[in-house]
Amino acid sequence: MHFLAAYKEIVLVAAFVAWCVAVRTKRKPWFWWLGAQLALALAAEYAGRWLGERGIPNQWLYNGYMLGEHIALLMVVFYMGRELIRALPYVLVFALVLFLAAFIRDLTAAGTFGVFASNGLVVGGFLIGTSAALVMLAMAFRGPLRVTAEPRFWILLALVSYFLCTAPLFGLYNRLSAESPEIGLKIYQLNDLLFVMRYGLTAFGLIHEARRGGHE
Amino acid sequence: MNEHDVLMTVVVAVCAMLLVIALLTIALVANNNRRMRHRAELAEAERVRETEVARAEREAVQHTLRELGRELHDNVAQLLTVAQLGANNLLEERPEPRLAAMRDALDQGVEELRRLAHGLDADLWSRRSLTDAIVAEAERIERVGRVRAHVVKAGAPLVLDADTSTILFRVFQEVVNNALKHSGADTLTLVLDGGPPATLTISDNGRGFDATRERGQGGLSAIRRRCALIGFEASCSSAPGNGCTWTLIQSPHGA
Repeated sequence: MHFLAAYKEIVLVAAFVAWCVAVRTKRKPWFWWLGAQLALALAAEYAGRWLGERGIPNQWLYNGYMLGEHIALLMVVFYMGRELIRALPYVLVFALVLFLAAFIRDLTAAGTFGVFASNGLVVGGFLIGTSAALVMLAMAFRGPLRVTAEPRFWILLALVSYFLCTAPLFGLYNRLSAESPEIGLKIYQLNDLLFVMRYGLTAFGLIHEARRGGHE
Repeated sequence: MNEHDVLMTVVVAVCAMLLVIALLTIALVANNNRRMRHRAELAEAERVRETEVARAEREAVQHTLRELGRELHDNVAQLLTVAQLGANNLLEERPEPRLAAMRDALDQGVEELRRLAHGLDADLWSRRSLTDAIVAEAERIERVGRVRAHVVKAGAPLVLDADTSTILFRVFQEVVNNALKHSGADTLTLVLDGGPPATLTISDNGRGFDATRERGQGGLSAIRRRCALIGFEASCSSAPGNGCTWTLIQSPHGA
């Protein structure tokens, strides 16, 4: 499973390159928020590894990234689905409040920013996944186009499959064996697998978007 | 729970979640495809219905015009012919200039009425081509004497079905009548090109108009609508002092 670490970077860079290719024409707001999230992900990935290799604690970096990522992705979901679901802003504000509550609780319980806020990730991830699934459903049932022809569909599917799986992944890990480093390592390898799937689907959606030239 | 059990539980839970997401996505895509197929079928049915309605409207208009033409020919023209005979008899008894002028006016009226009745007959198109009809119309315009009408046949002969010929001829008549009434032109040039694409160009050397103004656009859109019924595209180019040119061109996609 160690090969996944290399693939992680490849698919993340591929997604970012696909975004850069698609950016040539006028874009919808969700596209810019997704670009911000991809740029944050790239920065966090390389900076986190650089810090880790030097033995410098990097949990604070991942916590910061998690905060930025959740806000950016909630905005992506909002702009993708606001025309399809009227109540979406309320759902997303509710999701953001719950995520922030879990995130702050994690950090205040530990008393430091240097502990990974895994409960925040579970709660926030579940809410992003559910919101993205709602927009996907609305797109399939109310949208004017075949969903598989919609770049947004593949990006939402990436969010749904990754974030709805992080809930059982880190949720069960937290409950069952938070103290075992061996299990922690294997769990992160599973997370790498989901990560590859997520950014693979995102890259596919962005390539689709680049070919379509930004038309909704 | 030992480490292995914990790991297996997590792996099974994640795989189960992925399986649920995959199944739901497949169901969603299948449902969406079915919905799109249904929409496409509805759109196709609507398109077919609109085509049928347009055809029925066309047939109704043709039927009305044919009946009108028959009435003009069988009744009004016969009555005028009786009047013409009476006028001829009167003229033989009393050869007065006023009577002669009245007889000439009657002759001209009968001739115009017969031509009009003939033109309204849609079945005519099974016996003559659009080119023949346009040439005959040009000759009639020249006979009136105020405007010269040149017919230029370019490329292949115009071969169109009866429905298309009828509507295109009506559009042609409308454009020509507008030119005769409003343009002040003394020359009309009619270019017939069998294409492909089949093209009919009507130009006059009149005073022209600003084609971007509402009046021009309104006329253009009415003619465009009628041309669209038969798969033609109409465009008009004109400017004050520069005459006017109408181009009726068969669209590559047809009606």
